[in-house]
Amino acid sequence: MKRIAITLLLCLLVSGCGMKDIDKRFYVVTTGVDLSDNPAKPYRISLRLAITSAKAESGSSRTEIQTIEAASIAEGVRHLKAYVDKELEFGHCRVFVLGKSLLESSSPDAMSWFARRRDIQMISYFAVGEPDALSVLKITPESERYPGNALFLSFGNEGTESPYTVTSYLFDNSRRLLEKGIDPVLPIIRTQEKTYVIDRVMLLDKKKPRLTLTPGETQLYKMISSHSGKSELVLPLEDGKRVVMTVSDIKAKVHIKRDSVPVITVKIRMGGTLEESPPNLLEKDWHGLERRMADRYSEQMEQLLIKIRDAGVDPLGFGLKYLSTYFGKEKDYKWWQSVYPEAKFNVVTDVRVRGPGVIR
Amino acid sequence: MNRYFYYHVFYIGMMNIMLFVPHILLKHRFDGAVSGLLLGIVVGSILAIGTIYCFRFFPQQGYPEILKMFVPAWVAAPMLYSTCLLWLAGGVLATYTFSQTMGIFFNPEMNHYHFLLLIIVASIFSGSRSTRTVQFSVEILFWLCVPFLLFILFKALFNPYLSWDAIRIVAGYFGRTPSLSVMASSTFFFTGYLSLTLFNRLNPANFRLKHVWSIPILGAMFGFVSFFIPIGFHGTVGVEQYVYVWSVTADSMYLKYGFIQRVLFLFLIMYTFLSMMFMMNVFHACMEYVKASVPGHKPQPEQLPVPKTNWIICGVFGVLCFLFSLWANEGRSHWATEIWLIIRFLFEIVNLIQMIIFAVLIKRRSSSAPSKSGQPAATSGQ
Amino acid sequence: MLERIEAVFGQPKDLVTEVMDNGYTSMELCFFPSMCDIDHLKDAVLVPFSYRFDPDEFRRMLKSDISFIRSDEPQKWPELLLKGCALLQYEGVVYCFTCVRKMLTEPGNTEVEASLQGPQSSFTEDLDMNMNLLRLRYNSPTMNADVMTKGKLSRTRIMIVYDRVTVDKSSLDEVKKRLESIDPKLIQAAGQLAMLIGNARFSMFPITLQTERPDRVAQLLQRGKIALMLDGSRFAVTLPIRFFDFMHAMDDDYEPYWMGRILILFRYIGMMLSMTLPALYIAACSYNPEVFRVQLAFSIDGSRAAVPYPSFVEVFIMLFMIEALIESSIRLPRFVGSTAATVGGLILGQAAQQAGLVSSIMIIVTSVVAISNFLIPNSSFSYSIRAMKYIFVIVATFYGMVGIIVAVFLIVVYLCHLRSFGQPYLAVNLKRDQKHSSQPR
Repeated sequence: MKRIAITLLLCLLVSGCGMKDIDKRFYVVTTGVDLSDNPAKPYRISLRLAITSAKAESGSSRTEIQTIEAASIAEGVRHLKAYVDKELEFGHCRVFVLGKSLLESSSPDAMSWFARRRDIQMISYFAVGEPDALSVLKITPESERYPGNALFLSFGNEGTESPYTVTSYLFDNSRRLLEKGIDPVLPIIRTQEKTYVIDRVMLLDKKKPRLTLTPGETQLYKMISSHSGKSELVLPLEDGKRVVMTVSDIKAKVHIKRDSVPVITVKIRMGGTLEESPPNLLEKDWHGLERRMADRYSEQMEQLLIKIRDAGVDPLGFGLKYLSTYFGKEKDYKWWQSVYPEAKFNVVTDVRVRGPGVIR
Repeated sequence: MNRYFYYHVFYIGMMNIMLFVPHILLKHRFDGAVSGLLLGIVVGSILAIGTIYCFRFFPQQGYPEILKMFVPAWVAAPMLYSTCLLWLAGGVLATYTFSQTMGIFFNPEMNHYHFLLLIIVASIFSGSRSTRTVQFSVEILFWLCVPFLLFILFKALFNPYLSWDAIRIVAGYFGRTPSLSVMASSTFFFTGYLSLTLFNRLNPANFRLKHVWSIPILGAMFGFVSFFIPIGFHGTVGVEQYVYVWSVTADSMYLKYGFIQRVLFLFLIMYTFLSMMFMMNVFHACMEYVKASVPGHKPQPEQLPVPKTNWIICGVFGVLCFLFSLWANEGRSHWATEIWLIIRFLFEIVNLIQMIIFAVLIKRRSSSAPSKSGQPAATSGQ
Repeated sequence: MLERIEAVFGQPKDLVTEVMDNGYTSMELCFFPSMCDIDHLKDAVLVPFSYRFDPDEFRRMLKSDISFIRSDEPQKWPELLLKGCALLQYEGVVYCFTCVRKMLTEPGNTEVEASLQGPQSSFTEDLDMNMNLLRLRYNSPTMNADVMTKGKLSRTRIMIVYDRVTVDKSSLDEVKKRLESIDPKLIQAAGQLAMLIGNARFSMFPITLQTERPDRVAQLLQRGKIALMLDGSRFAVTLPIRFFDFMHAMDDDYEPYWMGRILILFRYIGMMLSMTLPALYIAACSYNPEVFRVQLAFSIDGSRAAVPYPSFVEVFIMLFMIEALIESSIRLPRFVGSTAATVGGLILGQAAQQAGLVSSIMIIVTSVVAISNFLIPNSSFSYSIRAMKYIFVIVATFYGMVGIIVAVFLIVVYLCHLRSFGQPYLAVNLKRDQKHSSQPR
């Protein structure tokens, strides 16, 4: 033991310290990248830095924003170190906001910086900022306890579980950027007074944004893509009243039939309880109501799928599904790409109403 | 005593990640990795089970003792040295990759050599213990790792972001012929049985390894998991871009509840243990081989206090590790690892043939001269 | 006789050397009144010699009574006197009369290893009493005891107790060999003996278990262990011992099975926490703040904002404070003890944090470390854990998180490397292995 102690001690003595105390580090909580007006330095990088304090009360979150224009993200970040007094730390930067204009004009290769850095988590969230990333960064919600926590909670489904908020992880995005038969999706963060609104998604192909979905479509998209419950199904009645069902569970299955054009069958099963309805409607015609809701839902979904198809993107990964169903190789993928714009959709929905809620 | 054998199978099977096995397989995912994996199960199982079967003829004897029974000492010594060198190379490569990974994900600011120093000192200390100590520690460390392993496996397999479609697509490429390096990589999952060459000394005379059928299953599990799960997370195309593919895969999982948010750190903790286990065993086995090469050496599984020679031999190994890291960089270590895997594969085949010859010889000896049958056990001195 | 004794002892004032004459005959008597039971001596010797003197009866009594032993070797006399015997010379023959003054007549109460519902009696500082307690609990003819005297000046009696049937022979030989080889001047406590025979002077962990509980010794004897008991210490040293035995309290066996298991689990968790928590704090503060979830990292960051020095200095300050508190409350008299706790714990902790000398999280870390250390039922093992903590702290100061993990690895290997009198210290399922290997082919 004595010998070990001596060797260990020696080993410690020669070792320099890689140590940097937590209070000597500046935590970046949100990073925003925009397109600047300067063509020589096309990127405008904004970092939201956390100023922590011992008290964690609502509204006690304080942050500082630093902005710089640079030729590349890496150079910009390096340069920003000269602007702050502590070491910039990306280890807890979980949200990256890309400006809308940036996505439209530059190729998504810029994203490789995020995947390459060792300290950036592969599970950090990506989003599009509207009108730009900087304005999203500037918002500090009143209720935020920890700096940047509001966006962490919204995307992480730890706090709110909104049916409109689609989460997009870094690893998922970089996979979708390269994978055959599936395309990236990014949620859009809009600013409103002192809060964020995240109820739209932007669909991209491998290079550029192609389509932005409305909140209603976003909900539909989220229901089918991530099988998320806690969404709603609305059926307007003839007399202007509405029936609203909360969907508590949903399952979607995709089958693709190989034909002259592929036929994509989406089978959706969902269940839930009524949240708003005229009295006694359900008891009169339980199955009829279910059927009407299902038909309406199928119709909406089919329209959405066609819209997505016509935009030339495939965020739901039908191409991938096709390849995996038929163990497809290169040739099959080429064929798929040529026929996807004409693909037919067939949505079959099965709605199960569990009950009318607490009252009849 | 069965379980000790399987601990070795377990951690060597898991160590594949530190030896770039998934990386090599993923590079060839469209041309022969899947068939290589399947073929690897067959070949690996044959190698493993064949060797295990041969060792039944040599109760309580390690490879050095068996070798010395059949060949003169001056032949045995170089053979032992080359075996030792082979294993040491594996250990050195694993240390290098491990220290790189840790440096990248844990302490990016720290000097790489300091880090290596810590690992090497730990390996020297643990490797120079007695065989029985090594055996006991492997067991305890195994049980420390299991919860992490199960948790990460569970987390990965039930992750909604794991794309089974991508896995299926890659699995569709099973018709291609695998290259030698793919075969070498895919048989690595089974290499754990080689621990028998040393630890057979500790097994009682009546030792019969049970549950041999589980070796193909375990190896196949390691193979499929370390090959397919990264594909499921990073897609059929994207998976190629990552150097430390499994670390990145572990980072793609998220712990909603708990102190730690990134599964990556659980993964790194587990791999620190596994790598240290591997290092300990490599250093120890190599040390025993070197010691056994001296004529008239008697193996002592239990030795207390630790003799000075142990420290010296392990210290030399540590210096070798250090020298390698001076030479190596990422590209070179990749290249060296690939070559090492192939040499290892060929060695395993040669080893099996050798063992079969020895087994046949001893069977003949015992049948021709039944009075001599008790002799080998006596000369080996336990 | 008296001249001889005076020649050896000089003339100490506490030695009684008398020539007694009852008119008929005389008797020489010498003894240490402080070490002898005077009443006993009076009843057994002085009364028959003086008031009721009958030469025949007196002679018969000396010859047949087992408390009178004829002692013809003059060189043994001083030893006998020092043990608390009275020497008397009657008609030219020297007899030794054993009338040792027993200070203790009843078993002690458990103090170090208290138990809620288990037996409350503990060993005493009297070896014979201890043997009595042990024989009562382990009432079997197979229990064997060897006696030995060690210590040049203290001449301490040591009993080696074991079960003849279950004992591990190799360990027994090893212990006897080591006991023969030692030659100390004074042996005053069981711990001292344990140190002397456990040859690893630099060992970080105890390889013998000291206990004051007769029930624990009985249980260990039944499992084939050996117990060493000595005069003047209320602890028995048991060996060979395994790592797991230290984490086992006797209460675990007296409570329902699952309760016991859960308590044991808590103890292991407590042990891990008390070893690694300060180190983890350093790692989290100085090396790898990204390991913990963001909210936690920000809390640590916020609470450390006012602290002017690096985390390891903070840790050393607080650890020193807590060690000082623990040590002082052991040594201090009972009445002052609580004051120390109040001053140290409440005022210092609170004030240090408000003054910005340490972070509030560090105070929590410190108290968790201290409390969970007390979960360990054996005190010498808990000292070890207390010491191990610093190794972790030092490694974490230089290597952060990875250092901690490697240190855990090294400690596991080290524990496996230790042997307690030839038996593995840390190994699981050994019993099953032995059974397997002893099976016929």
